[in-house]
Amino acid sequence: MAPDTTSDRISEENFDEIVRRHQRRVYRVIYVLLRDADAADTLTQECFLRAFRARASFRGECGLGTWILRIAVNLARDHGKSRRVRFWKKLVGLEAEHTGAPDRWSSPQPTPEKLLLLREEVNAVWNAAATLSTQQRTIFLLRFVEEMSLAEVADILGLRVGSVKAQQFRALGKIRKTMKEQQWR
Amino acid sequence: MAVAPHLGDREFEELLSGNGSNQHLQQCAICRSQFERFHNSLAALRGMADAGAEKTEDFWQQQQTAIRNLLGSPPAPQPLAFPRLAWAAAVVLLVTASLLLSKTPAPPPQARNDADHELLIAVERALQNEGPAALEPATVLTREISQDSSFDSTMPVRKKEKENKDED
Repeated sequence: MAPDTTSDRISEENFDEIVRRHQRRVYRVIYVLLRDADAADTLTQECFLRAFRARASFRGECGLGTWILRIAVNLARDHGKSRRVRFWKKLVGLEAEHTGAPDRWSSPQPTPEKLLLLREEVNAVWNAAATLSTQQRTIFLLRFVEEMSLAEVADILGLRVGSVKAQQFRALGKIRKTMKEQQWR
Repeated sequence: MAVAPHLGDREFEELLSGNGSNQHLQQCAICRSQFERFHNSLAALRGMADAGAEKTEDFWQQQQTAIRNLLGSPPAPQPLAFPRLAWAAAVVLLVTASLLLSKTPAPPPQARNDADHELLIAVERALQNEGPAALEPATVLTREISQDSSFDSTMPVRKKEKENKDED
């Protein structure tokens, strides 16, 4: 009988260490996908709970981090589906939640005009991303905001690299078109 | 002189992925402006993500504790386990009950016979004590029945024999 290596990968003993190692990335990815700090916190906890309960199904076909991120992305997508309206309403009030963010956008001290321009540009990208399907938006954000490789995105979403590349191409084309239209308004 | 076409989606994607040549961007102000705008927006989004995900060590420790507490709580009970057992038990009970009911013996006919017999005795006593003379044959008949109640089938024969004796 083959030895059960699952317990070596995720067990009650090493789970605290796994949480410590991956929680920041999980939180960040969920945050990027949802732009909701409370949801990111709650779903990060839920993600690790699910990972622990489903640890027997982890066979090491992919890295542990990728496997955990797969759970995280699925949670974020499910969450996003049910709260999409609220999410996009929140986008309108961009500055309300991210008052500290502009300091990191540019250095050393951005002018108010530059901040305004950046906010408009961010809004433009987000509004354009809103026109994408859930999958295309996820690919777009993981690829260009999280800066994951095509292979990594494919692993997390359970897709082929070619499929991710094709959807990325379509997503960029749509966003580009939407942004051009916005520019002419 | 031919006008250079603007960046297509493919070239744009390659540039964003860091694989394309920026030769066209150097020559075309429109594409350069568009690409810079897009590139800056993505950079701003990354900055927002950095800011949003930047938390104190206390936050991460509290999250670890919360996860540990969640793991300590028992998983939701499996809703199907008990009903299955309950249904199985109910079926067994029903089958057992129906078997028991089908094997219950019918009340013995002897009980009814006993009641008839007692009634006959009571009638006989009444006739013996206070019966009118017109009922004398019935009295005789009752006496015979009570004497030979266990040989009902032979009664007519014995009655006939008695009649014959009387004739003799």
